[in-house]
Amino acid sequence: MTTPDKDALGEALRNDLLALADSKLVLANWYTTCVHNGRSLPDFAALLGMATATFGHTRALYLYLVNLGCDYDGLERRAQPAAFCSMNLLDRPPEDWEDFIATVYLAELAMWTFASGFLGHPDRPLAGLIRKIGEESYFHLKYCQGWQSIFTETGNRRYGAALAARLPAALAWFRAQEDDLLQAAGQRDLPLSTLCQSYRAEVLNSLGGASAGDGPPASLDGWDPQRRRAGTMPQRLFEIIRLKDPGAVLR
Amino acid sequence: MESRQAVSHKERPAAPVGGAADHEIALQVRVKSGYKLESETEMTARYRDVLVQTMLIAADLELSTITMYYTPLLMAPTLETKMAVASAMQDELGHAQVMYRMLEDFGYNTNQLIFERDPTEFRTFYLTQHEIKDYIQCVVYMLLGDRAGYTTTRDLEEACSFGPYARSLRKVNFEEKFHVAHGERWTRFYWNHSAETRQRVQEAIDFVFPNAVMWFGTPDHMKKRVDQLTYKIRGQSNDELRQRWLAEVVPFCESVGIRVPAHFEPALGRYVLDYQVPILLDEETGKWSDTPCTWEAQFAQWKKGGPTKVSGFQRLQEDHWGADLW
Amino acid sequence: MKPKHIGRAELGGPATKFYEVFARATSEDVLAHVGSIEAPNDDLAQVRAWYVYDQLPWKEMCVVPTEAFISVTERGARGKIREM
Ligand SMILES: [Fe+2]
Ligand SMILES: [Fe+2]
Repeated sequence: MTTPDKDALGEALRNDLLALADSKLVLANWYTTCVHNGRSLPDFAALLGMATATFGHTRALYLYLVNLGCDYDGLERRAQPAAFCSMNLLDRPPEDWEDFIATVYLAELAMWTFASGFLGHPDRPLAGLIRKIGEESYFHLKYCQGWQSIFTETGNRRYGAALAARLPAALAWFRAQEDDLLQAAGQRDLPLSTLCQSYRAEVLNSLGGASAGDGPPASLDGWDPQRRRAGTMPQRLFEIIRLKDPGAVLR
Repeated sequence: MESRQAVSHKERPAAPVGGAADHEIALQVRVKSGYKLESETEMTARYRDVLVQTMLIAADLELSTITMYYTPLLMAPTLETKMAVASAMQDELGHAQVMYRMLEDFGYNTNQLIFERDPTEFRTFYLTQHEIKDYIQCVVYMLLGDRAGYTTTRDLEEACSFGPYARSLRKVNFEEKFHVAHGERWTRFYWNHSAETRQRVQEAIDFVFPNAVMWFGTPDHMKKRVDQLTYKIRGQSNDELRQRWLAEVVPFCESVGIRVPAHFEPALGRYVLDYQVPILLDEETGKWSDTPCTWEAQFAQWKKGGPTKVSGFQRLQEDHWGADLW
Repeated sequence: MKPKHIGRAELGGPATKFYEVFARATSEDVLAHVGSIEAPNDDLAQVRAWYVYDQLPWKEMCVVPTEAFISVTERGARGKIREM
């Protein structure tokens, strides 16, 4: 076994955390963009609360990335969609409430599963940050579970279909390089492939085994392992997530 | 939770002997002396009606913030400011929840009120019927508008003779205090930040101030219905609340250097406006007229309502998905 | 348009339920009633309570179905739980 060099490790960690942070940024925008579609008054408050928390995760991860040589303002105000590393799963807008819950569930669970790999990270501040993210994600996942129960009780087939259609893109996000450098170096608790398997099992389990499977894997065309995505973020999505009004920046 | 007081009240003779007028007067005297009602069974029909109408408007006003603060949420310049706006909106929707929940005890259904009521039947004030354009205008709205709301809800918490409502406002006011403080902090920041942001602050103040003045309604001498005060649903009159608001915002703005059209008049011992009400807003230009209009014209503008008066509530009853989103 | 009778649509059953919310911020505080929330199931009740009644960073929070309350002082009446 060769010892991975320090630069390569640093870059691998930076890439993974940025992919997580950017995906959270897009997810937070899903919550804000869909808030009016909430099904009840307390849903409005819950969606805004989850948006606040998720923007907070992005911000905390960007701040952590400063330790790894990134510039915070530079990260926040990236001006090109190609510079973002968000998961493909969140590219396409939700088609209805069922698709919204299915996608949010897949995204929240994928991000938490992925992040949980750093719970034992040797840098304690990072491990602590991940633990905090987990405490908040617990409520986001519970929210999805609450809705899942309703879909299950009412025999809502649309939900299962939406979940199955979105799952391949979610699984693709876990794709690892030939070998998982971070895991080999003791920075990730479990190999990504293991995390991906447990993710898939949990998702299928949430469907009560009713699913026929998760469809064909997402295409590898244009896959960029550094950014954990294929292709560039859609321009219209970029218009939503990019920060505006530079004249009012607080510094 | 229910106290022994409620029990002993129940054990008293059910109702005073006499006609409806005696009932009303007896209740007015009781609440004036500080008595707090705990349940609907203690209310006269008139008291109940005034209370319910007050709570309905307050609930609709809280709900209207989901529209008001939405554009600033999209326009916020940093992640930190996005979080601040989202979190304030979350609070406001929580306030709406508290208030509509209270109305459930009076036979209303929250889902019906929000999702099935004709959007033209929601009742809000002209101040909340405009889209806030960006984050700088947003913090000025928090400074003046949330402060106006906070003035009203503090009075309700301090004075309202319906105990459950007064108590429920503790949470509301606890959070409003933070919105106002956030508005003050960032208004001051942008005032001192650059010539450009200073100008944006002043423009926002010029737009919001006259509207926030009228949040408190017509001057006392014009007010025909005073049931809210008679039954101590509220403690202070329109003009008293307006004074309380002016006494808080004018010194703050003066300390920062912001120009506001009001000042303290030592000879009168109170704050006075530097213009004569009522004035009309030109919704095209966003400018207030320099000359007063008639009250009829003012009422007509309020009746017609601002641009988001109906559309905001309508949006909550619709579903927008797919290509409508991005 | 959203589905009509949205409160029922979210449940797909007869009705949503009310839950009473209790919380304390520190271990010195008593567990106090902080509000009430409507939800179609226990999971959503917990999440909605968490986001609506978030005025303090609670150390402990729980929800109880309103129907479980029995009033001791108001004999014969259903418990009347309201905001503290
Ligand atoms: Fe509020
Ligand atoms: Fe507020």
